[in-house]
Order: sequence, then structure tokens, then C-alpha cells
Amino acid sequence: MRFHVTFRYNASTGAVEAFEVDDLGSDLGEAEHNRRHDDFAQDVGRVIERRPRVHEHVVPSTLSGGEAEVAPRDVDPAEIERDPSAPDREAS
Amino acid sequence: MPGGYVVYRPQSGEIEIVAEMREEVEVEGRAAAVLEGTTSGTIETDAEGRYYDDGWRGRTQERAEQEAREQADAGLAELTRQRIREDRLRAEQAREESLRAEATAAAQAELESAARARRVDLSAQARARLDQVSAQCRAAVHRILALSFRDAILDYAQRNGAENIQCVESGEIVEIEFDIDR
Repeated sequence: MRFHVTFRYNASTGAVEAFEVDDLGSDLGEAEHNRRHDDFAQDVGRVIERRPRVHEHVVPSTLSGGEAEVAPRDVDPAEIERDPSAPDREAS
Repeated sequence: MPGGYVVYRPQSGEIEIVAEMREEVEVEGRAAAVLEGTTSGTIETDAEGRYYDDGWRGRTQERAEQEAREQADAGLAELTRQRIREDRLRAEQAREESLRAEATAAAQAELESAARARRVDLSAQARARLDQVSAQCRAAVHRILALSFRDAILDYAQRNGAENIQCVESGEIVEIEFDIDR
């Protein structure tokens, strides 16, 4: 299973503005697909946070696409969480 | 830091920044009083003049009386000055304690007023200094975090065989992207 990771940190505000794990598709069943996605998001999130919180966003226009955002515990998820219905989201 | 201190508590991850401003306030209190009074009493003095009935060597009765009057006047003047000095001293001593109390009270009131005014200024200065140092500390911590996050994520990507690794540092922004198979 292949993922695309995006991380963006703003040193002037101290905010992790983005830590996203987009899945690039797989042949796995949905449950296994989701489990691996969550496991990887947790794994990469632990690079900067001992217990990262993972939020999943399912893109409505695709069946297999989706992304997980990793929020460090000291960052308000509301600051970095995207609106799932936002029009500028791209299917992964 | 000058005028305060910074403490980092690793257990809680807290940074405590304290700014202190101190200034010595000194004031002087004065009290004055005009002492007025009269001195009354009887001052006595005597003087003696000698003469010869025959006015030998010019020592006539008139001259003796004249000299005696002059001596008596001089003695009276000296006794009067002395009496005034003594009365003034007594009056001053009597007022000294109350004048000192008035001066102390005036100085205390002035000190409290001056200290109150300075405290407001110093608090504002300490607040400004605290804001300044806090901003500097946060900026320093954020810069360290930026480097730490960058290095840790790039290391993770490389150790796990990631591809298309990109790291862009633009001003205060660090952005990393990579693809990875898991």
C-alpha cells in the first residue's frame, strides 16, 4: 500500500499546519485498507508526538481514496482539520 | 535573563518566564514651624562706681554715676540676651518632637504616593519585558522544533525507503513531502 505524506510546520506560530497521510490506492479490502492506513498514520505521527491523534477524512467522490491527518496532542485539531466537504479537496 | 529568569520544567514541558523590575524610591519629608513668643520677667543687675569727694583724678560723683549706669545697662543687655536664648531653646525643644513627627508623617505619605506611582510604571515595564522575552523564547523554541521535526521526519523517510522526498524551507515554513510503500 502506497502513501503520500505531507508535513508543514510554521516556525513563526509554532503550529503544525499540515501532517497528512494520503493513501494512493490499494487492492486490499476496505477493513484491511483502513487498518493499514491508520497504522501507518500512527507510526509516522509518532515521529513528532508520543501519542498522535489520527483523524480520517473520506473523500466522498472516491471509494478507495482517503487521508489521515496526524495532530500532535498539543495542537488543537480544529486548527489543522480540513472540512471534508471543502471543494478544493482532491481525491487521493 | 536580565531582570528576571527563565525556568524550563522537563516533566511538564512548561517554560516559566519571570520579569522583575526594582527601583529604590527615596523621598525627604520636611516640617517647619515659626515659633513666636514673648519673654517676661524681672532682670536685675547692679553696678558700682567710685569717686572722690574732691574729684581726684577726675573721679567725680557724676562720672562714677555715669560709669555705674553704663555697666548696669551692659549687664542688663547681656542678661536679656541670655534670657531670650534660654527661652527660645526651651520653646524649640518643646516643638522639636512634634515637628519631627510631622516631618516623618509627611515623608511617609510622600513615599507611599511616589512608590504607588512608580509601581504602576514598573509593572507596565515588567509586563512589556515579559512579553518581549516570551516572544523571544517562543521563537527560539519554534526554531528548534522546526529543525527537530525536519530532521526526524527526513530520517524516518530515509530509513523506511521513502521516495520522492522533498524538503522545502522557506522563511519560517518547513514543508516535507514523500511517498512510501507500507
